[in-house]
Amino acid sequence: MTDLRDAFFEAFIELSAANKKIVLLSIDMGSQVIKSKSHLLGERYINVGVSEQNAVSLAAGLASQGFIPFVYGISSFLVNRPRAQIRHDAIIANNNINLIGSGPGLAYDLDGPSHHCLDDIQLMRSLPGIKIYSPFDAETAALAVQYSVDSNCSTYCRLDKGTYPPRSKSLINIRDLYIKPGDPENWIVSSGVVAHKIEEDDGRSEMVVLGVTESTGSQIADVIPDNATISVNEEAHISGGILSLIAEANLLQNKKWTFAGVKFKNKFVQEKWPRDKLFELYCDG
Amino acid sequence: MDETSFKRATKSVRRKVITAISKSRKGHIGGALSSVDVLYYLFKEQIVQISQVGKNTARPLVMSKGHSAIAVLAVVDDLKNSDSLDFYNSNGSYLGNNPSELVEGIEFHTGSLGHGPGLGAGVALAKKFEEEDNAVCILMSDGELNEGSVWEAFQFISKHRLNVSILIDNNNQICEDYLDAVSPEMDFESIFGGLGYEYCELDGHLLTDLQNLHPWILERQAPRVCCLKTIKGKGVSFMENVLKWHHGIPDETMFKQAMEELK
Repeated sequence: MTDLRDAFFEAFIELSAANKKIVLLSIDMGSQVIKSKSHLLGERYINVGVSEQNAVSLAAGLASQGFIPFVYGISSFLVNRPRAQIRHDAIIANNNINLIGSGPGLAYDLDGPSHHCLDDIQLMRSLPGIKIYSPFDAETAALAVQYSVDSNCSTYCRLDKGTYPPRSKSLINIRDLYIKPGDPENWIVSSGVVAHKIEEDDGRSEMVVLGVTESTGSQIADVIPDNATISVNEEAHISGGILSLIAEANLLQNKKWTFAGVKFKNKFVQEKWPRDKLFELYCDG
Repeated sequence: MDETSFKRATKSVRRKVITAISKSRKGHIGGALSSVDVLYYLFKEQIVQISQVGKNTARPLVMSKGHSAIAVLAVVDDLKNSDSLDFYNSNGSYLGNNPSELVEGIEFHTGSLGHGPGLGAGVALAKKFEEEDNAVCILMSDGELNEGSVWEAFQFISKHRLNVSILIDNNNQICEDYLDAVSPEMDFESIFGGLGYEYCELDGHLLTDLQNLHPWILERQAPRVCCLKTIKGKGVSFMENVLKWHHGIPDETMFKQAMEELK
């Protein structure tokens, strides 16, 4: 089992050694690998301090000059505070930047709702052209780095904390989706490390969404049959996340999907609990 | 450049600004007129360069006060002796109220206030990585000092000793009020000096003062701030220091009077 952040930044350091245009701007955010290996980046690694807005504008300025900037910060703050900078300086101006959000969903469980990030897919998905990655094991974390460097758009990576077993290699990869075939009329869809909460072999087909773009809905529609029942398992408010994405696809792709097991509500939970218990509280309307 | 030719040219640019806005019935005259003189001087002396679409310049200008982009467009139009402003705010045109990097002379997309210093810092950081020693010039409004993001950028620029020249168009007006009605009076010299900047203060309309910018921008390396004392609506008597002209549109009589005063 590998820590997702370590897997991500090991891949990042390796790519950065080969590509001198890659720059890492940390919003006072570390990791084991950054601590031990950031010196390999030299001046291309900068702790910019507690300044999300400036970090994003800096990244956009760097991108305008041909660099490949990554901005690393806590998910909840990275998608909320500098959204105007992401919108104006990066997206509208076509300056491609890469955001690395540490601790999406309920990863910062005990830190409370200020740190719970249940709106990142919603907020980023509303920006035209950005691509969202939700790695769920070491392999997909490393892939997310590679895809971000190679992409011709801005990206946001939902980089979870902690160690998780490998999963992606046991699934069938179709573009941005990972599939485990089962009952074709019953599907459970997840994203990020929530994929590890799915009970093995309950007979349903399973889909894990790694990448989200404007085409993800049609990708899902290509895979899930017209009359299937779909359950979505994710750490996200009911509006704007993977559930919303699939509901939009249901409408736009003329599907007749039925939804079951809709869990998260639009609310914040103040009580301090470990992640699993919080998951239940956010689901309990 | 002498005083006579400078005045003749900047009057011509002001006429272009007012004509374009009057014709399209949309735009921000006041702040454009307060920054015409410095913009004309910077571009005419090639202290900053006119960008081509899709290409970076060696000496870029970040027009942080994006709503005054018409002043940049008018200066470029004047220097290139073109008629590009005929399309200002016309259907399908990229020439609009706020700057698009898809037009000549606008290197960076702005329009939301408070973004220029951070964006410019990123450009300067890139130049530092590439070991280019040209300055990045940022023109911002004094009203943008209300935005928290600029103070994040000021700290970064100072800490990393970036070759950045920040010019503040200090006309003491925002949209609905005078700046000193909503903000405390700030001692810029102490504030920016305390943040590690070199600081100077100039009359933003006087050529002999603006000429100090040539060595100040091109020859110095340290982070620096210049406060340009300006008058919003400068050049047209009934527009000067009057709040209405932040985005007021002159009627036919006013337009004629403005053109007469700018002959």
